[in-house]
Amino acid sequence: MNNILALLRFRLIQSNRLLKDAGYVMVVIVSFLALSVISQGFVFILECPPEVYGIAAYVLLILLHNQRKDTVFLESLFQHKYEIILLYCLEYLLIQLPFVILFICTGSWMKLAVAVLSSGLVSLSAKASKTLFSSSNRKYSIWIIPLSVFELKFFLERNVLLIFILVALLGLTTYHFGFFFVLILLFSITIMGVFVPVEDRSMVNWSKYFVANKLLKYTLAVQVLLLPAFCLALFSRPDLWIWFAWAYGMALLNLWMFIAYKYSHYAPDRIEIGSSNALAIFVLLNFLPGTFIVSLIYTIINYVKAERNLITYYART
Amino acid sequence: MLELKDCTFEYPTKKIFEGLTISFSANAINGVLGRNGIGKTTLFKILTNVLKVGKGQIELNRAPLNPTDVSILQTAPFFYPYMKGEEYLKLVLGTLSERAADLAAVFNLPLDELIDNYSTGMRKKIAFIAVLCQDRPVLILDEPFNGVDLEGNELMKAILKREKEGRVIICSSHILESLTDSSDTIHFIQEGYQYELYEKNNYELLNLAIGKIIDSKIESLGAKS
Repeated sequence: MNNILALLRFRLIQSNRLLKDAGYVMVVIVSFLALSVISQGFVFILECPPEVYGIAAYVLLILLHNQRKDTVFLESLFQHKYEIILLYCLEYLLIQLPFVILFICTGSWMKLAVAVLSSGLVSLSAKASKTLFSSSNRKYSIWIIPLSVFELKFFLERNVLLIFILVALLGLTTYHFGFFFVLILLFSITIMGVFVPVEDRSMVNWSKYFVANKLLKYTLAVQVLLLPAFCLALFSRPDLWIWFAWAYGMALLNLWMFIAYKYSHYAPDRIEIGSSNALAIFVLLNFLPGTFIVSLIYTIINYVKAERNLITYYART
Repeated sequence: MLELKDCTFEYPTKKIFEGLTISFSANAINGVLGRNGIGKTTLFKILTNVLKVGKGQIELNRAPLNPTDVSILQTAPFFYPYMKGEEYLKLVLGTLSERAADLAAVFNLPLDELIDNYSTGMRKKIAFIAVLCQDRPVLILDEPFNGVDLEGNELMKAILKREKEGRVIICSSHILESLTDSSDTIHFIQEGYQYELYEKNNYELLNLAIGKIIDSKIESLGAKS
């Protein structure tokens, strides 16, 4: 129990240091800018049925759990299994804290119960899901994704659970439009993981308009997922078309931004590219009405830099 | 004594060992040597209950091994971002013991700094201190000497020799000299998890065995070309 309290206390200290690192003023400004979207998000969540919230919370939390790197460390730290399960449950409940407060304030007791239940279920099924989808134990080959979009293909082959979740969210969009926003959020997070600015030089073929071709290839490839989801959401709630169009556009802008950023910072002789905090801020800006213009400009600048960057390397070699 | 009796383990695509019986002595440093991918880390994951054997028993002093009897220093130890050295030791040990603080001082570790700012070797050292001070009966060290400076390496070896009483210490390394310097015995694992046990007084034979393998591989390379 002491270890659980120590870990939870550390999480608070960690959050404080993270905010300090990002800059308190920046966090306040971004939060203020995001207020309209956050409030609209809260309205959506309050209006949606409890089962929609429950499924979305479970899906996102199980995905988060599968990305955890500290499971072995925690198993070596705790004497009993139930302590680890309790820790996971409390951590996942803390992640949902803003919603928990919202549900308490608005007397949405059913949704509060669902929030607690989803945390508990994720904690209990965590080990099984990790074993089932662990990429270190088995390697899947997904033939349906062409090699031309190899970054996405290899990433998804290492994280098979993501495919199940994305397809499930697509299906669930027919049930409730709220799942469309969850899908867009998950898509944007996935793309962030796919386009890391580290790549072997053999994978870059130095052709003319290499980045533009890549942008086009990926824009077309992701339509397999995004377009049906958009249509399904539109079909279920045509009155919310502007929100769906905005989310769809932002998903594409995120994709373009990550590709442009990757190749503008690409250097085959560099093992790791520095901080991408700026990119994370731009992802946030993407989801704010109006301010996405800033990230659109940022993406265009990065695109121009990217094509020039590759030409520079081509000339050098 | 730590014993694996008639154990079998396989991944969905690869069998690692079948009917393996192997023992590691108490009050001794047991070296484990073998090529990349042979299954050393898999063995350690089994001992720490991260992976489960298909069949067979694992016993410590004739009783089933309890996973909480085992401490492990992983090849790449895990650290939470934004965590200070002192906080890490407190978390793993419950409190910052005098012994842990002394060891940190010996290794010149700045405990009040974030671990994110530590070098690879410093990270290995603080994780080493943590697992050592957990005082569990089985201590597994997966390539502890990698990335650690010369002085740190020698210190680690000396500390391990002092701390081996009452414990089973298992240590893997690809640096043969570090392993022969520190270990009382070495299990040399080869294909199919066939292993040979070498005592401290016949490490020359181990050198010869490795030499023979290298020679045969070079010869086969020559024959092909």
